[in-house]
Amino acid sequence: MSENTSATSNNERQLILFALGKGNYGIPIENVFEIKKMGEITVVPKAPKYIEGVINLRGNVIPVIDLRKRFGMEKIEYTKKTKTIIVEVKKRQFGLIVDSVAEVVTLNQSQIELSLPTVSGLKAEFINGIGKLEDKLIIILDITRILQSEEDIVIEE
Amino acid sequence: MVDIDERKILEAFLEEVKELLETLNQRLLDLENSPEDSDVINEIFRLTHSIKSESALVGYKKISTLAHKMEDIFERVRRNVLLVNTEIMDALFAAFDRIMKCLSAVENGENEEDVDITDVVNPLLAILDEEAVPAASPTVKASDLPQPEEDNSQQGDGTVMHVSMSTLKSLDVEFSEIEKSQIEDAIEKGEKLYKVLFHIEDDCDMKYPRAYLVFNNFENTVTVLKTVPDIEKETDDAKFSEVALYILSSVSVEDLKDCADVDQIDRLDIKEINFGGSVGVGDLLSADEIQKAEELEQAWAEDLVKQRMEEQLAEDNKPQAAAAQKAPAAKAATKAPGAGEKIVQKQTIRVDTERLDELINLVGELIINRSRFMQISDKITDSSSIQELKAEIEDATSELERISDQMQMKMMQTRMVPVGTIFSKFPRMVRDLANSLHKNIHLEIIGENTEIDKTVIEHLAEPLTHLIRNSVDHGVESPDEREKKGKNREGHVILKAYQEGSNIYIEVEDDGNGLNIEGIKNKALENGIVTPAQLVGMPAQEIYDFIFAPGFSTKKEISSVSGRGVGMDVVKTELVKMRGRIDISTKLGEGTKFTIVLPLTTTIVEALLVNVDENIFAIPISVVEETLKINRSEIKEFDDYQVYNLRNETLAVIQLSDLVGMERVRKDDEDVYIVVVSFEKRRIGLIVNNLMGDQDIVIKGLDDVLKNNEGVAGAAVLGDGRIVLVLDTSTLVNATLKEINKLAHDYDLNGDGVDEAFTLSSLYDNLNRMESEKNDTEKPEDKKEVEPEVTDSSSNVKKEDPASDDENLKKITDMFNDIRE
Repeated sequence: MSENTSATSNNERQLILFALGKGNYGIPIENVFEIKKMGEITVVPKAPKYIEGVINLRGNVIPVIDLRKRFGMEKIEYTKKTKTIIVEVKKRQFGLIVDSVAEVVTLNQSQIELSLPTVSGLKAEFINGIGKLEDKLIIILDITRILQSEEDIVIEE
Repeated sequence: MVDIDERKILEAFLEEVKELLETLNQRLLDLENSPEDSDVINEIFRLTHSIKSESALVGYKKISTLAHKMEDIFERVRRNVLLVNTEIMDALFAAFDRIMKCLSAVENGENEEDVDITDVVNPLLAILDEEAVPAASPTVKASDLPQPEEDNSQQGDGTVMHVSMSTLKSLDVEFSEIEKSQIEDAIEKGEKLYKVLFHIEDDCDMKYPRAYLVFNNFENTVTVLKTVPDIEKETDDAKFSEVALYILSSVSVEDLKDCADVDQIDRLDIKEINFGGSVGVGDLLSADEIQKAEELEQAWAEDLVKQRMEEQLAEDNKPQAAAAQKAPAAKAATKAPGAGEKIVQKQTIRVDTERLDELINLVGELIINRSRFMQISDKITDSSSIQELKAEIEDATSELERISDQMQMKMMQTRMVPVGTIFSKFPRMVRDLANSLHKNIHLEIIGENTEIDKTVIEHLAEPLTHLIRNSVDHGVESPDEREKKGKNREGHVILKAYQEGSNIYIEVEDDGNGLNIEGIKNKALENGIVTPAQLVGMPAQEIYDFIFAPGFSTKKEISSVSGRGVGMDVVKTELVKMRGRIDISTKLGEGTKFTIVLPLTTTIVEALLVNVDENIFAIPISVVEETLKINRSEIKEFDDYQVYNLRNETLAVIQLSDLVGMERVRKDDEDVYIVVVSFEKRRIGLIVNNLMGDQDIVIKGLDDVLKNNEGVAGAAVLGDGRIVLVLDTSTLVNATLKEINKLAHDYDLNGDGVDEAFTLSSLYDNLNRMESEKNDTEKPEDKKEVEPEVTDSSSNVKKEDPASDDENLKKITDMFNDIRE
């Protein structure tokens, strides 16, 4: 997706790293609006099952998605580390609930390999590449696709 | 992509020209009624002139050409050398419509140049006795338009300019659009265009300064349009041996010569550029021209037919569109590409400065109020008495309340626009439609200054168009028929708007044939909207309402029966979307009146906040009839079907949590509240846990991923930051009643249709009987023991698990058996 790769102009990509289960994931920083602690979530009946509800982000009502649910992972209790990453995709804001947010990393294009579905456990269309940082593998999510897709996405861990 | 500045200019242009066109449309209609009113003629002349100049300025040649020709016609009408007749009017309207088409092309980011105008410009030229232009570029659909006969003018680019423009073209100099319109303006004012050519002595050392001197002299006396070479840019002496100035002036040639009286100028030539004012007077139209006008009229009629067919088509596509909406993500995906191709029109609104000033004043008051609160907060640290602080806070708060209330009101008013902005297009529509149907119809507009929220008004145009078209098409009879009935040959359609309380009423009334109730009944039966059994004893009002049923308008031509129904369901859906409604009153043979009722604004709503378990919902107060505190045991239920006896009337009640699709957390015996909501004279009761009072809320839309919950209209943020979901009551009530009907049908084994009212009343009778029996026989027994069990067992359990049966349940089952028989 062109808007996700806009930072590649100088061969570098900045990613927000977060953890979900045992995996390390990254979202291009240009998609990330802010990172919030967990707050009150208002349930919206009949919403798609991975939508936890809506939150109040400075007067705006935005939907939040539990990424564990979205990826068919086991639900865990929210902890102090649980965070909501607010992303903006095509002028729409969403909150993504993740286990924890680690850091911002800069990866050189040479550190990124194009999708290897077998490594990520995710369908190729939902990832933007695999980053290698020291001995860690970072799955770079194509957040636009994930948000727009209605299909069940399952991560095979 | 258009850059920002250009876009800004474009936006300003569109806004300006639209306004001009709106007035022009109005005046053209006025002109048709009084073709010799000089005020109207003059105003049209001015309007067409402004449209021409504005569009020429931004380079829209087609629009400016059309406007220009219209202007030329009115220039003659103004001089009384041309009389307005129907042919001219039609040509003018056709040109007007084409301008609108060009504009919408511009708005859609298309090329204005691609719009073919030859077919509408030629009739105008014919009126002006000017030569026709060729049916231009082959890229446009020239084939289905009447081809103009031979023509020799070699304006290959297909654009048509005024005579003066072709004169200008013949000069060896290019004028920009701005300059051209400057020239035209000046000539209108009686000024003349001169070419001043002077030569500077060959041995002059400082030719440029000399030339500049001359230029300066002219500049001080007249308007210098252009210099060749361009004196503002070139400074090279070599280029200035011969200089041409194009000037606009009303002073004499002698005075002009004085301006050029500078040393070392050895030749001077001042020439007036004549625009050949010998424009012929078109007093009589040739047979050829009449034929052309007729062709035009036919094309117009075809357009109308096509338009109607398209609308029909659009309606037919509605269900698909609805289906598409069920897949919001898919919809979003398809929407994404191609976005940004259109020039996104920024929504702007014109606000009376007085209103803005009032708002500014209120903001001032708000700031003062803020400092008051800050003072109070300072005092708190000074350990002053609680009582005193309390009094002060109360005082400051009530002030804040007043200010914010007023701000809300004023702010709302800035969003208000007069309904006249959409009403103005209807006289034209009625005129054209009536003409094509050979009817004689007068449209009367009342209350066009009534103001209504901008978002509401945008959605109002389409329903009103439908209603008025229906009135003209099917409501009002033909003149002959009217005469036979002893009515005036001229039919009357009234479009009226007024405000009452926090609602806007818009009426469309005709003095036509009225609705044929038998016709509607037959139609409804035919389309399976209603069963014969249901029709028995149904009030007339409900029968009229069938014309809004989706199935009603599926048949293409209905004129033989009731005549109504074209897209009426669309009308209703549109209105309901805006939380409005529509009522019908009609009398056979005398006419029909549709009354649209709309809320003043859709964004700020007074709502009742209710608790359902942990969640808070907001119900717009406008639909709330009353609230009751009851014990759950007072609700009788069967399946999901629950009823409550409200002052001897049977009220269908439903657990709000069920309705919105939430899990039910229910205690056995608890006090609950029933919120009685009504929608179009139908009532249901919503069971909630608690009431939290009413509050003004600002409704915000939910993201598309959450749009599949039809019962939720949006969300609102409360003062404490909590989010409440706002219920869409109309959908909820309809869904509930549909469920009830379905349930009734499930029990209707004979298949001859069970009327909802019938089921409800039988149910009610049985409940009553049950109640009295219980009172008679079970009085001494422990009532409390029985009732909680009824309420506690959820419906499904009751049905499938006979163990939980009690006497009451048996009675309810009996009761349903009764209904079956």
